[in-house]
Amino acid sequence: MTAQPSPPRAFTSDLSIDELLLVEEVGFEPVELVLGTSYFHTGWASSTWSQNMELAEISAMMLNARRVAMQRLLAHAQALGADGVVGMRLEMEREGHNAEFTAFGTAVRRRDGNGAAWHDRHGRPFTCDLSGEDFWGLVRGGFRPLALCHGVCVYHVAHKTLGQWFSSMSQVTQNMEQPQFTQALYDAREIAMERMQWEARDAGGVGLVGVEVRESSHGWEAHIIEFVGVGTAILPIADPSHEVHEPAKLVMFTDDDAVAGG
Amino acid sequence: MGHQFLPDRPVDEARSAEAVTQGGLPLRAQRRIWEMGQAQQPLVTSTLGPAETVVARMTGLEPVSQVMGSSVYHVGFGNYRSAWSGGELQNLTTAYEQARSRALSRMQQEAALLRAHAVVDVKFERRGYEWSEELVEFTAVGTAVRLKGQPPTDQPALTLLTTGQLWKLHQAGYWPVAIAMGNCFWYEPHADCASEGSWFSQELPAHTRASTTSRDLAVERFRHFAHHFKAHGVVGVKVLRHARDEEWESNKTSHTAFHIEMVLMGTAVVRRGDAAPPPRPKLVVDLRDLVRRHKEDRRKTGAMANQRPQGQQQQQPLPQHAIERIQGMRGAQGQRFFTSDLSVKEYLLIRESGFEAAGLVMGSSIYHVGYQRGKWTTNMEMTVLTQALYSARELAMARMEEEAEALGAHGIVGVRLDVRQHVWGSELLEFVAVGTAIYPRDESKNWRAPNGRAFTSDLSGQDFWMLLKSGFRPVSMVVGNCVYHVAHQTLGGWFKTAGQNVEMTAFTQALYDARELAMERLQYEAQSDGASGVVGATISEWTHGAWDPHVIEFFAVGTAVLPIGTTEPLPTPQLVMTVDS
Repeated sequence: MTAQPSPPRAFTSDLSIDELLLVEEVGFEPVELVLGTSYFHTGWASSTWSQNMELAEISAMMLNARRVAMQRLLAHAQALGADGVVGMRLEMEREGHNAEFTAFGTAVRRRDGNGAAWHDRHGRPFTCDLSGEDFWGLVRGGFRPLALCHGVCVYHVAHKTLGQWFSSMSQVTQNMEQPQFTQALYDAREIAMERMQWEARDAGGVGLVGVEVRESSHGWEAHIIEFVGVGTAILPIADPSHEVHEPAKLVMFTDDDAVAGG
Repeated sequence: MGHQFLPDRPVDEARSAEAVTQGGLPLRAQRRIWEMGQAQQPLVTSTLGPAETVVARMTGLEPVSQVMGSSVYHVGFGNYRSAWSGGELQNLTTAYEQARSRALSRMQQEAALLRAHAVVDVKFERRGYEWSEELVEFTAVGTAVRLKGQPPTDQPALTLLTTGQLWKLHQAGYWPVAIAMGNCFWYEPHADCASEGSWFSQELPAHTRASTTSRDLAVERFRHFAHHFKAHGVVGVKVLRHARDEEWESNKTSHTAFHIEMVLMGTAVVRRGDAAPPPRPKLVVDLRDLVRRHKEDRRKTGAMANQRPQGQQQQQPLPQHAIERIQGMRGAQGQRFFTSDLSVKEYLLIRESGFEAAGLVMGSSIYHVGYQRGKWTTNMEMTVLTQALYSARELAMARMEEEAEALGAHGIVGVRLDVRQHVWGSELLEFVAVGTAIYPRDESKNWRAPNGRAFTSDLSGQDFWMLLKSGFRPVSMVVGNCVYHVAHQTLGGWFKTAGQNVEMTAFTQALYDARELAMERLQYEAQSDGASGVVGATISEWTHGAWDPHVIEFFAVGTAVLPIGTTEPLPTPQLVMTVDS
């Protein structure tokens, strides 16, 4: 085992072996595990007891905190001359009214030096929450990731007024839709998704894959719910010389327990 | 016949202690390993599972023995005073760093004595002791492996990787050299929020700084470590972080102190000069049954066979925000933009089948589920509840279909239905239907259901592809449900059966009936949708926390299908053994 001389700077990455080999196969090399963090204090917002409403300040803050963490990560990646970040994820840890947002990911660089073709519309390195396997599949399928997009909506769901409460007591045995609640949560989700789509369009994507809409109340008052839409914006690869594979389909008979390392 | 208890054989304790002080192995460990090496038939002990062992053998890696290294370390006192103004707790950082590397070094020494080339699957454990706060123990456990045809080394490589991964890495021309580590303890005594409990949302600079600086220091040490081993890179880096806020008081003013510990750990690798180019990967989509990905979400009820309310299919007005979002996706200049919760592979397969994703569609309904009392001793269907659960889901589904229509889609795949309960109303249930609307690239072909609406199905991208290939197309997601009250046993009945082995015919009958009703309704739905069959039908049961525990909902769900008339050859099944972890 004759080791080649060590390069001036070793790469670091949280990619697994499979992911590393696949990322290398499509012409990228890992540069560094990049991180971005932001610690935020969540303030209060006034909401009217009996009204469905978005808490716009809190929405803006929750989105901003995520963006700040991602921007710091991106700044780190750009300083390293990276062309993109794979396997990016955002974690949030809350302690009382304080919350830490951390973005992780592996910065990668195009080996042929033609990295600019992989940047987004604003010339920033691409970001995606795809694993190395999914990144490879997407690229060999003829697409490239552009940006990890977020949309946030923090919503206050109205409490019932006394009158509504009395009339609901008389409906105990009835089956009926509760339009004011349906409307509230429906709206909140749609707003979160709309914002996510807006970000994706802004980055110049034709679509979003792997979208997830998560909801949580972060220990706030029970009537306040946060909806977060997350997805990776993608774009077809314009370069006609790019090699595209038709996926091979495989019917596998694997005993899940017998798979090595199961 | 019991096993003979192996007595402890004394060793020279003074020499053993001396060896440990030098960072070496205790004599007992040395002896165990030396004896293993001397044995005629070496006994293999390893942390690998049976299948992993097979893979290891096939790939020229030979597990030798489980190896271990541990170190109990005393962490010096007085850290905090030196860091009064905030900063790194260097004493702690070094203590933990030393303890970790001593444990790793001992494990490596054991492996070297076994003439192993690497230690795979290394697991690290840290524990403290109740009887002394200043003590910390690190234990590393792994499996020593030999590589066939390689000369022995006195510095076996340590890695967190499994044998399968090690083999792949080796094939691709890399070799692990060490477990790279970097850590940092940071203390920030004045991490006060400028306006504690304030109405303003703001960034906390002291916290952010502590977090960033400790991370940077840990990363720097980590890099230094990798550089020391002349590594070309570090893979599989894990970032472990422990942080906490602490209140303290000075001159009757309360302050917040912030502690943070950062640890980075990964496998440092070198590129070998002598490797052949690695085998090229193939894009393979595993066609195993992937419907299971929605397993938990498949609670869904359907129409009652005799009262399927067609009226519910009327146009449901969509909220304003939904209309705006949908219009945004259709695009003003005929330029479409889609969102989808399909995975990358599913998305590629949907495209392969001749479809394009139109957008993520959603419907939701919050429903007040009425109250119904079951007769104590009677098996009966709770029609009010059945109807409630049905209608609510139908509303959610109808709204989802509405969004799909607005997008001009021909169908929806990967539909899943969630039932949610919010803290503010136990009698209120929220039903959410989510799926990805799709349309064919060749729009001249109509894939809509016979009734002219978009088809629905809970099939994954893989299943959808398979279904089309085998000559069928989805029509609708069909369901059947039944909420049933299972009778309580009467006192007389209890006396008759107590102490005996007998079938509880009343219970059997009740559950049987309830399932049959649900299945029957599912079939009825499929028939009325003009389908020729139902695929992927499952039946399951659940009970809502607020109900009497004797009240159970059975629900059946599946995708109704119709033949297209053409079939294409399916790939031949293959037996695959993956080398994955």
